[in-house]
Amino acid sequence: MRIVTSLISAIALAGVLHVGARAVGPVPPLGAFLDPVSGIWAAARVAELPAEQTLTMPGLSAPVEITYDDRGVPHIFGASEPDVARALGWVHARDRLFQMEMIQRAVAGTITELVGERALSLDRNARKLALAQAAQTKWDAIPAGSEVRLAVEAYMEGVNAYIDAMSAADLPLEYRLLGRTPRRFRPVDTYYLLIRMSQTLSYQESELRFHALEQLVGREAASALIPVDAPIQEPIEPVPGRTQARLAFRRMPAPRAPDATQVAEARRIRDAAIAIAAATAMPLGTASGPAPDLTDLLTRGEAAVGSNNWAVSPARSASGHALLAGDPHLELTLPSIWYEAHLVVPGKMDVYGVSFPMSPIIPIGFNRDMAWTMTNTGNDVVDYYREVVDDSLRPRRYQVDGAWRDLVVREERYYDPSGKVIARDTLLATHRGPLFPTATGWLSQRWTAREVSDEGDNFRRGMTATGVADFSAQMESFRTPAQNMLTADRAGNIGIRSTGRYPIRPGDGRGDVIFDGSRSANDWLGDRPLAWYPQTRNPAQGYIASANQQPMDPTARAGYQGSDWPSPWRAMRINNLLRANTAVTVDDMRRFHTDPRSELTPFILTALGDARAAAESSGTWTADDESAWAHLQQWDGAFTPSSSGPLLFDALLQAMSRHVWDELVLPGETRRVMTPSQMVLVQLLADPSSAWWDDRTTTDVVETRDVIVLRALRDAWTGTRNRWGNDPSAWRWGNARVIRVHHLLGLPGFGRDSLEVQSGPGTLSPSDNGGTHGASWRFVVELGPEVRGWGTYPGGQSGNPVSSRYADRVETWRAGELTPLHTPRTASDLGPAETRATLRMIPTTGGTN
Amino acid sequence: MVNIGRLVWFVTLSLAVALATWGFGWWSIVVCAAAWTWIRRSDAAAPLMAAAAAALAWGGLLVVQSLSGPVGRVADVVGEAMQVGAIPLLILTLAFPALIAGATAGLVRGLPSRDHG
Repeated sequence: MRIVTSLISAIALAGVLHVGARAVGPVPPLGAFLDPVSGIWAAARVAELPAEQTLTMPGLSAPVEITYDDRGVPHIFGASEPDVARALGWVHARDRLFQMEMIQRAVAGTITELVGERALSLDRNARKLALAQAAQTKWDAIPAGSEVRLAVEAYMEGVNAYIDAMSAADLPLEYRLLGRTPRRFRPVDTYYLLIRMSQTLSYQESELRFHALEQLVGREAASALIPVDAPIQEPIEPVPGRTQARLAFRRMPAPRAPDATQVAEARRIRDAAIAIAAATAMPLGTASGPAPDLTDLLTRGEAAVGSNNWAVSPARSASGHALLAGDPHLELTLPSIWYEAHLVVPGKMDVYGVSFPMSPIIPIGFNRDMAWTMTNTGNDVVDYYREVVDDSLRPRRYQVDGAWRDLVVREERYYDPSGKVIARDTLLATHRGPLFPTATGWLSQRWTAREVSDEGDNFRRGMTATGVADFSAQMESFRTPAQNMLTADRAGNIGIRSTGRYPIRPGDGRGDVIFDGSRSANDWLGDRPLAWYPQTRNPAQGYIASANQQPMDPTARAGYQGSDWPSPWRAMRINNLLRANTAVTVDDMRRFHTDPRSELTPFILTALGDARAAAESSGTWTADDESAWAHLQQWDGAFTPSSSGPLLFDALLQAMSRHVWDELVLPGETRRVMTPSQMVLVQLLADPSSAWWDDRTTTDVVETRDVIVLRALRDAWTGTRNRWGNDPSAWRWGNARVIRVHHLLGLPGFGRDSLEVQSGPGTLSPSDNGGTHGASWRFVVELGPEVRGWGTYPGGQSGNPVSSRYADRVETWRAGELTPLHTPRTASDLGPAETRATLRMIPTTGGTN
Repeated sequence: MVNIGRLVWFVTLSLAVALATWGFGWWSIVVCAAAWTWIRRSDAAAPLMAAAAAALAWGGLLVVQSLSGPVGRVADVVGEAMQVGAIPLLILTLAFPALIAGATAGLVRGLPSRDHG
């Protein structure tokens, strides 16, 4: 009996020791994981900042004092810029270590080494785009001993100092769940982050979509669907004397009916576009979840993403001081992409704002003299070239001007967490950039982000700019991603410039086509001069706004800037709010961030009114139609969570797209090759008899605008009642439209779901059914004698999901509120009630630099 | 009626497991349970007592952790991330050392002693 008991015990012990020491499937080794001293439970012990802490830091030239305020923001006071950068690196690592590694791996294409094969497509896309190589090229070009290099090196030494000294209890929960430990970072990783931002903000494939559309509906019609010049002009660079948006509506050329060959070609190009679009469209959160529907990437229409910024001159502000506000919209994640920090080097630097974990810079913020913020410009900085290759299956050479050139060949391997090779790729490149095999041939890609530039240094110098003109000068060499850089200063100046590289192309200068790669004459010819950039300083109107719209009205200054611009609803709304207010307050600026109205709404409702009049006169207007119409008439136009009108309006908008753009659906499919922007739809509304209104599936009748709009209303009314019930008074927009702030790995419980917000199509804070993007940071700055700021973001400073600082700002953000930002001049300026913790870093003896 | 001697031995093991886990890590449960059972090998309830003492030890360490941070929040967050829930995660955390200690004790009790050799 004893033998049997012993045998059973031995087997049980072996089993439990095995699961204790080794990962079993997705379950990490349970021993270290469950250990109540150093396992997951230790996350509780390190959740909050120690009230007082002193540590030694190698490499410091003098002690650094850090005071964490009641919002968890570190105010870092050091004797030199490298010292402050080193301390910031340590602080970032303590709060955001796992996030930093994810960013680094996303660019390097090594997430599979953390989470396994499920991230393979994400990694493959990163490597195809040669992001890591581009970051290395940029880093290598930075002179040794330059200030930016010293700052970045010090920063990473600070990060690594934290990693080297961290205890088992400090290990972030994500590492525990994955059964991994952090790795050390290199200075080049800062440039990985910067190129990741370029990828997020400036990478595009509209040429391929244009080409697919060209096959389907003809070149002229396709040009109208993806216009080079927006049909509604509300430029960033104000046009003197203009007090409202310019409607530049043109009659849209009729779509042609494609033949079978053209349909097949359109399908091939569409598939190529999906493959290339996937490289940017896949969020990090998909690394551990199901892959997104990539076809939907092109079909869903205008992305409900958009950044805003605006500034008001002293003449139009209630306080008599310049005001500035900004809200960059990005993928919303926990931890947030941003980390608030205040960096002070007495006499040299005193800057407050949001930093990127993995970099020592504050790209958006303010100092004692001025404030700055950015929106994405969206200019065309990616071109495609159809290459002639020596072998259509395994090319090794490509032809330029009749001569063969060798392709650059790169062998890539992908590893799983155990170190096993799970995939191999042979990647090719021409002198222009990566070469992609597509169903329509080999396409190479040139992109400004891959070329030598040092935005890290631009940002670094911008942090100490003394005013609008100085900031503008510090940013002159900024190349990518092009940004609408808005500034305001204490002297009362406001200014903006769409800063970034604008390539000059051959021919008519347009870049929204696929070039013939066999001719070197098709390569870029140079760059636009700075004077050409869309810009203004202290305009007579007394305010400036940008919201990703086409930055310059082509009637003011000609030249190709890009195509497929987002609709200007947000820009129009900001400008209308600012025009109507000659005494703008800080609180007005705050409210504008979440203003619930959209300039799109009147266009749609006016068209609906026309359709109603036509139906009434023809006797086809029904009681149900009247009920739907009445419901929209009762709506005040505000996209508030408690409102019912937005549900029907949004359904109407979607139904209109579905009925109008039926020509863009490939035979045998249900989804469109792409969906034109809302402003193209609005342009079409001004042409009631356009051929685009005709429904191709009804061969016996030619529909007009009024027929289609009425049909869309009926679809919307029926669909909304089916979805939300027959009693419209019980409908709530907040049930349909929510924000989801997901965790970087998509881990359940680590994110925040179902946040009801004021947002709708075209509002300043837009959203779509996905709800995964939004204002990643909102802030307002008043440039008075003492510069003051207010801000928040949908997250918290800590990356530890157990910490009270992990998501403590989400509710403030959801409600559209901002909190005052502390800007102490010395480490002891904050009172006890405003101080959460203090940290003193002292140099290691003999370790000064 | 409580056997005081047994209780003392039980508390001793529990303290030993707690201290050893704190000092050396989870695997030290095996050493503690083996040594303790070797001494108590005549006690037929040794495996059960060892399991209970180890669970108590880790439970005690969780209580200590809770004095310095939100252990309940850890259970909620990690339990949801692992899709098992907070309570099962807590139970697993107590069952894991119990299984190690119990199985170790069972194995040691089955080993031939010098008395029988």
